[in-house]
Amino acid sequence: MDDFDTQDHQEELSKGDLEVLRAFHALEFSTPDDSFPHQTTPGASLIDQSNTDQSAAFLSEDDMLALFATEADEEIAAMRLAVKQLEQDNRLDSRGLKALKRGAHKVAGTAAAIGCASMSTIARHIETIIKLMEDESLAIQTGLIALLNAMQALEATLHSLLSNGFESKNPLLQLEEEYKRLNIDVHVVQNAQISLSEAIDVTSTQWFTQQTGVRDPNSTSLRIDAHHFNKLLESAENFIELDIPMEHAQKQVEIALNDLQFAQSRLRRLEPLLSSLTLSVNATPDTLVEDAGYPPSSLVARILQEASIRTSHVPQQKNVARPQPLLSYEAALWDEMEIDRFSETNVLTHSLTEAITDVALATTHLRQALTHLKSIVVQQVIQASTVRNEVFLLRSLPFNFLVTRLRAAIEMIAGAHSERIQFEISGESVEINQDVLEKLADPLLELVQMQVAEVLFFTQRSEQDTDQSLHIGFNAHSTGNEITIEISFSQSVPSGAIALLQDTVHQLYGSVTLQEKGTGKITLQLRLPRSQRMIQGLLVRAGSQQVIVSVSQVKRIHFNKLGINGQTVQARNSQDTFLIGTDEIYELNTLLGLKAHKHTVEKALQTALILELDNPSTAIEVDEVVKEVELVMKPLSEYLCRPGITNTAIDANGNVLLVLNLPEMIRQKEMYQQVGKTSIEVDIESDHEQPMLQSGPKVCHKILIADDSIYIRQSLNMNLSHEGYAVIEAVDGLQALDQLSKESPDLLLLDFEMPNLNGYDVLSIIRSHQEFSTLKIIMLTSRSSEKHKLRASELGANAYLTKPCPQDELLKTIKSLFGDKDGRT
Amino acid sequence: MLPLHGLSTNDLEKMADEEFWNYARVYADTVPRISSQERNYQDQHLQCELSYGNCLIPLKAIVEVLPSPQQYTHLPLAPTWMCGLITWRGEARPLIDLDMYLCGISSSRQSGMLLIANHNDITVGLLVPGIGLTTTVQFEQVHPSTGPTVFYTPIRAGVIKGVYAEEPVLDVSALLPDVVQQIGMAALYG
Repeated sequence: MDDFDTQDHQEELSKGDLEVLRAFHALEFSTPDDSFPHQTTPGASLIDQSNTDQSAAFLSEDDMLALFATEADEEIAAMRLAVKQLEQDNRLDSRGLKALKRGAHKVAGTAAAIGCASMSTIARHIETIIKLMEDESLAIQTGLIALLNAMQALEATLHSLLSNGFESKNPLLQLEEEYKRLNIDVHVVQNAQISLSEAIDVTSTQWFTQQTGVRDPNSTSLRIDAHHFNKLLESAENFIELDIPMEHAQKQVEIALNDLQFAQSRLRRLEPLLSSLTLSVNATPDTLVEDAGYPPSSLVARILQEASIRTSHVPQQKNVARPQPLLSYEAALWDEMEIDRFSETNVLTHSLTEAITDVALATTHLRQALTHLKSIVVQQVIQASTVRNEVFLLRSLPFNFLVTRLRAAIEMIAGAHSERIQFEISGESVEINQDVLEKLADPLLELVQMQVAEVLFFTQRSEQDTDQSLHIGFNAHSTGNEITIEISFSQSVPSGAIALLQDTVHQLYGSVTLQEKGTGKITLQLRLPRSQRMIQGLLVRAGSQQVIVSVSQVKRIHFNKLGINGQTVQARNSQDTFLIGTDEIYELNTLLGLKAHKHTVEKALQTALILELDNPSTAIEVDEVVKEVELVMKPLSEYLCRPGITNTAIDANGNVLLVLNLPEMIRQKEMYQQVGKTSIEVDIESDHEQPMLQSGPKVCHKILIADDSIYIRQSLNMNLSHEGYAVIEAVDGLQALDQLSKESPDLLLLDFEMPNLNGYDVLSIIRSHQEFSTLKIIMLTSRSSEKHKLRASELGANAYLTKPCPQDELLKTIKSLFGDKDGRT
Repeated sequence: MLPLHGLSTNDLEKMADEEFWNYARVYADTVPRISSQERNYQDQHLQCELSYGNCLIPLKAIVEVLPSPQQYTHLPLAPTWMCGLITWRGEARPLIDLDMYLCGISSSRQSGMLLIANHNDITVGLLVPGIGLTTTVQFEQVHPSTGPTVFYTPIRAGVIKGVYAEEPVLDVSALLPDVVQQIGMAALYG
């Protein structure tokens, strides 16, 4: 903050710049409690508010007020003209309506930024009235009356602000009374609109909660989308309806099973008859029967034969036509009416054939019934999957929800320069999980804020004069269970913001790819799983263990096609065109703390996952990519969580599968290496072999910037990042200490005047802790007196620089402290 | 004083002595008491066979006894006495080699028994080489653990309640939180 107290800097800035700076700074220091319009104490003066508002430090309160009043007055005048034009045109496609909408939006944003809640609310009422008119919910004539009333209220409020130093609430209250009389309920309309133009505070961290009604931890209620709920109901009903065909199919299977059992038992009954017939044939030659002239196959014949043997009486052969023995082909043609002509063997054979046919038939019926049952089960599975997806969609929102917020935030920051920003949006209707959107919102907001500030404020004036506009594109599309979000900028993006976004996306098991085009256009591609409950991943084997890696984090799978040929890893990889451009290769075994492979000349990289990280890529060597799976993720208990491992899945055999967040594991590994903890692995075999890393990552010095001025942090961050340093930031003394313990930086750039512990306090605390003894500290402050320098030296600062500090001097000091030429290890 | 079985303090005061004591006896019988069987169960301990001797684990802390799992998942940055993770009732639980934890010696992890122990919502799997009989421990006879019968490493003294019949009695209320704390710390310090 120190720098902006000086008159010099104010003189360097144009009126527009100051406005941007003010709005930006107001955002920087806004807290959830600041949520407009509730933060304005009725009757409190703007001056009083400003005394506690650090954003006012850029300009004096009078200057800020005058600047705002002038701009608001101009806007109100333009809006008056627009209303007149609308009156004349008396139609909705009037240019006046568009101009009025733009003016109202601008006043709403600017007034909110400066803390004029009433003016901002009136301006938002104007926006609401316009929307109602556009929706044809409000007649044009009534709308015009409402707009004229709003314009009067706006002017009266501005007048009260200029006269008294604070805005009067009366015009707003009177306006709302008038709206009630006209039967216009602007509050209901505003609450019903999800659009960000109606959002209370687009930059608030609680914005998402305000807009979506995200669950209060203490509340059991959940706000869901009615459309998705109805679809879920429909899918659930369809699922239940499958019960009837399922029951029918099960019954068919039971019937077929019974038939089969019956046929099998009949077949079994024939088996002893077949055996006895064989014995009978052996004991009694057919010739005897045939010679006696008895029917060859009847029971009567057998009885008569036995009787003749016993009595030695041969019965007289009746004068009846003796049935002729069947020829072989005739035996095959069964005829119940001529059963006397069939021998017992024929009858048994026929019965056997029938029984076998019955078994075959019953088997076929059973197979058909099972096929039908299977198809019903498949339908049920599909329907269950649909229900599950619908449940996930209950907690989803269209992508537009986030884009609108980002866009409004950008316009708010840009203020008068908003016309220089052009948006291209596509895929607004793509549904994204609310949790994902909520987590993405803040880093994305920070990214676009920094980008807009970079272009509109930090860019050199000569570049601005060329009137280059900033193009920001938002695109979303989904493929299967993956969502891709693309954010493109026409100019380069601050690396710090990308790193923040990367961290968030990695936590969501996604990846960020940065694509730079020759024209300077930058596209950030975010690949994210659609749900944070289900993981669509690759089942990967590391040793005897299988783990899951999110598909969204893998760019491609590398399979070595050349085979092992006895060359070294380096030689093999140098020949492997697929790995060209891959600068870091890790072994999954090593990352998991499992026993690493012995690297011999025979060992060569066989299978690797190429991650969606920075360019060039990072490869993870694995033993095998088994298959692609989709499993439910279960969070690990906190004490079981490890860097990059916070979830598990259970496979069909009941085994625990670790769900790996590989970018996070690598980041942690790099961090450990950086602070000298080279061995993070625990070897379960008590083999204390050093973990192997085929090619160590390049490690840069990490610098922490502790300064409450976003401008200072931003400019330092850009310069240092450009020089190859890893940069982290802290906005106050407490956060600096927190970052020190978490991030273990190598050097601290410390401002003196900061909220929550000043620089000397922080310095004193740091030097009283042995673990920070190697930390290099540079005081970077606007205090230039010898007294301060001496104090800093006594407390243990390594160097003392005075703002504004030339970049060369700063870099020279940093390099000398690191004792290297280029700042890299 | 609250009314007892619908009687107020005034009613009690009006009672004759004999009437009062009869009432007291009846009332006393209605108060739920720990049955001798239940008390016995609370004192029951399971004998676990370790490499250097036996130890006793309160039966009430053991939810299930299973054969040693054939597979478990290795967790990075885990203490040496944590074999890995197993699934129990659909959740991932840590599998602890009790021999290694107590004595610093690792017995075969493929054989033995798995005891699922629970205390205050902490559930862990304890892998032991074998189990013996259940014993009713008379707590009056549990003595401080000293002398040659102590086979566990001194740093584990905090999880031992004492020695009963020359066998250390594990204090599950100290053991499980210690296990959890150390697994958590291992993530930070390796």
